[in-house]
Amino acid sequence: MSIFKAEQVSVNLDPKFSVLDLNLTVEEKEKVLLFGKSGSGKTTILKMFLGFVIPSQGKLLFRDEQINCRNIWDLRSQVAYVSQNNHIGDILVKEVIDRIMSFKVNRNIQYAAKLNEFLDLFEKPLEILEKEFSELSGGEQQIINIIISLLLNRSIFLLDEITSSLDVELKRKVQEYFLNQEQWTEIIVSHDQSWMEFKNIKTVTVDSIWAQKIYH
Amino acid sequence: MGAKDISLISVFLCFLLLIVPVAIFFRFKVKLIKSLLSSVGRMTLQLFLAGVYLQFIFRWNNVFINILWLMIMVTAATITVLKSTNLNIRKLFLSIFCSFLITVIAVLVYFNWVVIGLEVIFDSRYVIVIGGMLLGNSLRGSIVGLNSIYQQLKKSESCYLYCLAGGATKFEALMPYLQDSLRFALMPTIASMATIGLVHLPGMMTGQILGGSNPMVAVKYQITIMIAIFTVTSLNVVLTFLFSIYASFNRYGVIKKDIWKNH
Repeated sequence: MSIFKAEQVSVNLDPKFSVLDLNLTVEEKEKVLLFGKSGSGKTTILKMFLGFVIPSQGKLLFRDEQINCRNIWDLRSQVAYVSQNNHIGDILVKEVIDRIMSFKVNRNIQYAAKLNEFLDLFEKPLEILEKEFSELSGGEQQIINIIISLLLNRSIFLLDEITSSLDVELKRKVQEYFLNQEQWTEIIVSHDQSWMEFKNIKTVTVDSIWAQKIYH
Repeated sequence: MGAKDISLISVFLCFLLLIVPVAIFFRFKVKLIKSLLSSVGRMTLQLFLAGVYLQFIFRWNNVFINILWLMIMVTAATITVLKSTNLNIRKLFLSIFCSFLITVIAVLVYFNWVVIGLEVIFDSRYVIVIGGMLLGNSLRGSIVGLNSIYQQLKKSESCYLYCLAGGATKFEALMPYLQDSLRFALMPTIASMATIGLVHLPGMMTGQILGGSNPMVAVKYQITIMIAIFTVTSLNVVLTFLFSIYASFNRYGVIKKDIWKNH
């Protein structure tokens, strides 16, 4: 059973920019890297799987079932999404976390211990929780977003440029962490070649018309 | 005993006072003279018209005409609200209209029936005048509330979508926007309630006292009407938003771009 599948998907974002004929399959436990220049439509692919962008043609499937406005809510409760720019407002980091964890689908998750563990793993002090999210540096925001996604207990990840503001060592740590989770299914969007150095990642190059070559 | 009548000549004499602001604008080169004069003109015309039709409406005092008139006022209020936002009038007219109508009628019925204890709830003197006060005074709050929600959504759409992606229902993801909008819409009224009577006597009370009412009666009316206005504003912000959700979001929970005038 594949987790995500796109069959001949096209989308018109505005009159000048449309993307045509995407075919993509992400199997269970697979790590797929969508690689390409910025503006090539990589983020759009993630947004389509989340129901934020509706394709004009073609089929999108999640666990072999066509994505529609009824099952999209269930899909969203099964995936963890880390977005590129997430301006969550002028609230404290711990409030950001509390807010996401307060949603009904997340309410039963015990996360306090795991939160400390992840802060430790990604070298962030506990005090960061008391800071305003918008005052964090780009790298710190990225780490917090990553940690939130890890707290959600999901096994499917949509990761959009999650290492773009991190220094080399921390980037390596994040990459290794995600790629070492054998059970997880991940779509990783990046223009960073260093992801390709990992053996268990499948690279799909996305160019401006979504015509693609697959490297194994 | 009523207030002393003002003759038309006296009204004209009052207009002479306008020479002062016009002279100030002229001297300090503030380009507001034209808009001031056109606004004064509109005010005069509209209020004289109101005077004329109110005379008829009070004379007829027919329940259906009163309700019809209330609906015309609600329509005008809806258009005023939508014109002061950058939202698409055609898409949102119905939700705001229904919200205003329901809240005003609900509060009006309670006010006239339970608070004042009228035998005829839709008596024109009370329906038109109190209804007009409720609508007029909740306008600003409703505009602020509606603007706040949709401007914030426009500004931080990515944050809203991030919450949806985190498994939130549409309502869970919209909660903070609604909270902010209620706060912005109602805080000024809460603040003004605390100072009322200290700095100025509110219009309704002044009017009643001039009209010959006992000041204590005027005070009681003022207090009850303030509370009724506050109720209308808060209920209206919430209902408008709930009703507008259908027009503003697609079935995937994503906000439609054409909800704004210039998308």
